[in-house]
Amino acid sequence: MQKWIWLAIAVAAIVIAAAAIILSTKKKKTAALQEEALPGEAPAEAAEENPETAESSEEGEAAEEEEEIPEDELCVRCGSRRCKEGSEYCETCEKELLKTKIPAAGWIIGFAALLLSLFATAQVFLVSSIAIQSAKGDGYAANDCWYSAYYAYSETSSVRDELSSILGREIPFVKIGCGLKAKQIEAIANAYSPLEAGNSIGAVFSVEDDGYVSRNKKLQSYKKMLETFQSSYNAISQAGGDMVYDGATVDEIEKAFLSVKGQENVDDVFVYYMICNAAEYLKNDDFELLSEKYAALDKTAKASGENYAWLYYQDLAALYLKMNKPDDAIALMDEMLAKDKGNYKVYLTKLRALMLKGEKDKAQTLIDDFTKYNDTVDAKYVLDATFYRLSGEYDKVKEICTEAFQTYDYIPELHRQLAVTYLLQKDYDNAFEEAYAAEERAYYLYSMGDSSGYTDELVNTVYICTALAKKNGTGKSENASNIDSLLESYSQEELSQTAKDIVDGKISVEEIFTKGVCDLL
Amino acid sequence: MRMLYIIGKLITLPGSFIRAFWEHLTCKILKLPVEEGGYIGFHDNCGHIDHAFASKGFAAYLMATGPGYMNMIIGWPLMLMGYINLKPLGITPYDSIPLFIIYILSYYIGVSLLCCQFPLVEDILVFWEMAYKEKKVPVIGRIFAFIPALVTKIGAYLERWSIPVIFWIIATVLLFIF
Repeated sequence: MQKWIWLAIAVAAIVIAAAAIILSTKKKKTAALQEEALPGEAPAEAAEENPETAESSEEGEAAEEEEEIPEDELCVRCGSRRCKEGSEYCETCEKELLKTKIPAAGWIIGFAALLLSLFATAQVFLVSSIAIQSAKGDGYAANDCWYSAYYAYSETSSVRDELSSILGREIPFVKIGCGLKAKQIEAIANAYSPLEAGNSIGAVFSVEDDGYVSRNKKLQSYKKMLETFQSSYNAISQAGGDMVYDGATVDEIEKAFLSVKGQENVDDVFVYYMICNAAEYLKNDDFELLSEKYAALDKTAKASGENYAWLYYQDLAALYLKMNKPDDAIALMDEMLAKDKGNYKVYLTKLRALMLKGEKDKAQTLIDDFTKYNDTVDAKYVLDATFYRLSGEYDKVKEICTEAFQTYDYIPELHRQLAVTYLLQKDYDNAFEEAYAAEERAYYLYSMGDSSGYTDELVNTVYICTALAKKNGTGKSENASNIDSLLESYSQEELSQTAKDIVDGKISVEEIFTKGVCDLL
Repeated sequence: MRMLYIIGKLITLPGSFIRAFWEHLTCKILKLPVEEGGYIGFHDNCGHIDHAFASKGFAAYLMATGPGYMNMIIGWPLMLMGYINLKPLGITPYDSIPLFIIYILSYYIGVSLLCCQFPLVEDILVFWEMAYKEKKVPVIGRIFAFIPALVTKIGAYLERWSIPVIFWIIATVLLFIF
């Protein structure tokens, strides 16, 4: 109801203003026409209004009538009297023209515009900080730096909330519109995945925005993708989800999963992706088998004509690294970087591939490229720490991590890199402390709804550092009392064979962390 | 050319009307006679008023540039308010129909004001001749007024062909689509 009152007021104001303009124009036109039609009468009318001036002008007229006035000295208005010196008008006409009134509409509209501009200035001042954030996001998006774009867009709501808290109230003219929210979702789709974007729509848009969401094709496509993924997952779970834990072979599981192909709302690409996941869970070290499964996934994805790189390229690149095929991994990462220069995980994978090839210079250039396209300093610290750890410059790793922790203490991966560094230097106490810190930060992020900190590498690294600290440490470090409880919290199924072999002494820490990929992948 | 000029003035009706108001007010302040005839019409002075020229340098400068400054001061905040809320902040009719209309109108009125910043060519030529040919204006005045007067002179000629209107139409398309 309130909206319609506003609309009615706006329309009424426009109609009144237009009517005022038309009326004032008509009035002046009528007066001009009347003067034109009866030129002889004009002086008489003027004489009625101003008898004194009429007398003197009559005298002047009489004098003027006696001599002929050259045409170029005639008043341009009345055409009968001599014009004043330095003027185009005679004295009478000039006095009349000095009284030409400004129409009422002019006063109203002119000063209304002035007041509106004052309001506009204040409003622009209030929303400028939000607009600057949005413009930053647009700039990053235009350069395909989607994580930075997402970060900038998501900051706009923080800026708006801060503004509201400073002013002490919500102001209707300080509002983030559906257009900006849609840009934020698009940034999530490109920085993370369309599934994540579909998942975020409910959090970013409010119920009042349902009309916009239902009419926006991109948003609907993300929602559809999420629904399709969920229904594919449900169909696969029903067909044979538990088989993964019941001792079935990869072929049996694949047969069960493929039985849902072609069902309504089931995407074949997701089916093949889940086959790859099951194969990795059961046969993590059978690279040939995994290659075969990923090849089938890749073929199906490419046949669909859609971009599914976000779904499996990182996993496939990790497999190529384990198979010592860094060039194949780099090719995949380059394809992803062409679409998004802000994905730090892609840079990390490519960094590992370049270090595997021994191309340290290119790896350093890669980190410089990351800095060029991204403002996210915390991610750069992770890349630097990884680079120096893979280069064997352990003191440099400690220096970087110490500097990073002053501002970015919440990054689990930084603590993990430092833990591995201490492990390689056989400092088991410090290795455990940093691994414990990594576990704490990952848990904190998880409790805030972000499970990205809990990678397989982190889980296995924490396990290794904890177990080796129990075996070889002094037991006197700050959190040493938590070693036993931490070890008990692990189930054998969630640990990799490599981690178990390191703890059992079958392979050394150096063999895993200084050769090949130099990490637990 | 005349038709193009009048069409440009009608498209930017709010700006034309308000400009003519400021010109009329400036004439009142400077005690310059003003012909009757209204602010808007199908004639060469559409969006301006017919007035006597000033005989002094500062008055001529004020007459030529003052109303333009006023349009600029009012136009930019209105234009920015409309643009910032519609594009960077992404306000749509789904957020609030009244706000959406207000911002559209604000942008339109702001741009129409910015399209009507320049006077008639005769107005600026009066000052130009007085200042730089007849040298009736002190040297300091001539120096300070040179750039604004030159810009106003160029703008006045461009406005004859409604170039500012065409510029802002193109700018609007680029601002909102890219």
